Amino acid sequence: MRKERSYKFSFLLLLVLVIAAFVLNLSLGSVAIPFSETIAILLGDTTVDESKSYIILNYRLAKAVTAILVGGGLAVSGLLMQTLFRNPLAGPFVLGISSGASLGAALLLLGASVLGGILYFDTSLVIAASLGSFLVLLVVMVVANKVRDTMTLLIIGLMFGSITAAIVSVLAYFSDAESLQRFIFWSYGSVSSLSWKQILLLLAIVILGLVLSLFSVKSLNAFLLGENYAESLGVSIKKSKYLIILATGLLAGSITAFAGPIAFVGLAVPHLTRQLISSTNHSIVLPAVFIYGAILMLLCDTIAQLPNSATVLPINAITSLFGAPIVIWLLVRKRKILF
Amino acid sequence: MLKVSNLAVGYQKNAIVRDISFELQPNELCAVVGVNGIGKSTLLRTLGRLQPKINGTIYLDKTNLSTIKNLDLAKLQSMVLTEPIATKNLTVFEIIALGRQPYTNWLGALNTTDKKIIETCLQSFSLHSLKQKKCFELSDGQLQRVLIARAVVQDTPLILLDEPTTHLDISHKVEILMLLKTLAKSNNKTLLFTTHEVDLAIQLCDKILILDGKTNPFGEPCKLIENGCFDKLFPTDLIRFDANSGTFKIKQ
Repeated sequence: MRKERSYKFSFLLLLVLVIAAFVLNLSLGSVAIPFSETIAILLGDTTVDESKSYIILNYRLAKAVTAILVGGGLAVSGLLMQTLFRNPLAGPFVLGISSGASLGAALLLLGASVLGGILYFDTSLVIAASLGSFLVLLVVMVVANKVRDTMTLLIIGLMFGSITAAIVSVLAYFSDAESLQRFIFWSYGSVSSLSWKQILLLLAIVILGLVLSLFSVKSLNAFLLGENYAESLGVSIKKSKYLIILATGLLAGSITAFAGPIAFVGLAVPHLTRQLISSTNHSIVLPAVFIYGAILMLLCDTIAQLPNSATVLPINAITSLFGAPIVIWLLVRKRKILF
Repeated sequence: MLKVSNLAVGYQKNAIVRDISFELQPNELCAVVGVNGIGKSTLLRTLGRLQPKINGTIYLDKTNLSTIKNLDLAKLQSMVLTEPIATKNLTVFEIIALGRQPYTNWLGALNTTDKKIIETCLQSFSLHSLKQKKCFELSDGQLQRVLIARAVVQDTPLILLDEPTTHLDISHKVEILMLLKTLAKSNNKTLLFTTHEVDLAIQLCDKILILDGKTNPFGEPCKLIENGCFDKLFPTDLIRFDANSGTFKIKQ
């Protein structure tokens, strides 16, 4: 029983931290707005300076909500991949899912100028990136069925990354400066460029992905024993696999489409969460991973924003700068990653 | 409980062993013996429906195995496999609790009945002190007990075990086999396991299936000894079967 109470404490801690990170993220930015005013605006106080309230409600709040969706969603998709492939190094990036999304985005943004005729509109980028990530995910699944060795699979994932990078550079070579710039900015990653309409769409897709993940909780737990054991427990392997892939594709694909390829969150957050919560039960780990991812993303975005200056660093650089040392530290400290 | 006739098993239409026929009654403990590579594990995997059969029929509880739904099958037979648990981070409790999956709700939450069954099982397998230990902290013998406990909480009349005594010293081998015997006799289960411990199987099992690739004799151990079925079990001049003691001796 002591165990269960300690999880409640962990969740409480995570919730407090996510609220703190959320408020911190809102109160810091290029324009200095006092903490008390931030709170007042959030609580619906209309007496505060209108421009400040506009910044908070229409810019920073949108950005913070995006950060939560992006961080949480990527972290959950990383968890799903790690359990599905039973590999601690799996994640949307390593397995080439993000590269797939990049390819989709590149084909749309750069290909449009090369091939011409493809209309660029609000959701087309999302659709292209999602399709790209789904495609790579399906190929990875097919290969995963053929080669059982997970090391091989990871190398294949890396190869997909190379192929994508090659295609992207070919496209970049032939495309005009304007669309190239648009693609490069997309690939820096950003949580600040979304309108409320886009956020609603992202929210809907992320919720759908999370609901699918929730329905996969039971089979994910069974997969922890191995596929054969899962099957002997009555899990329909094919159906569950496709459900998990669909969830991952929706989460990682749509997030990468909207916010660009953001590294390390998907890989690192599940491991960080395991430091806090020792349970392997996905009904406990999954929500914890989501909140942890949200916290990390909010903090990274706060740093990227460089408080009180107009400079915004690419968020992808920040997550890598902080994510990579964390993974190295984990490896060195524990000598091996267990999942 | 389990009725197999003229079964052929193998991979991709190539049968490695054919003409397997046997029938198990409730409360019986049965061993499958044979040389390495003859197809013991393949037979077990086929019975567990982890791979398709090539030919023949398998009846489980008077129902054709191929017509049983996944979830219903999980309530009829459970398995202990040789493959390592994929996640070394699972605790003993978590591994055993996963055995309740066929009965839990869509989120896999344990209700009071599930918890009671797990608790009883932990007690009877004397695993209570190991409950929160991680899988990688266990010895081979402990892990095997945990895996059998997992199969037991799955609450199935039939349990299939693939080489449950491999990697164990002789005392732990006997301990596991006695445990299987107890399960068959007092817990009303039918158990089928593959093993290389022919002499121990002869002493403990109700029935033995010998896979020799030809006639695949099946029956009570003493009947099989009388018929000289063990003499040709290993195609080598190095050992001989001693019918009096029921063991293999080195030829000198």
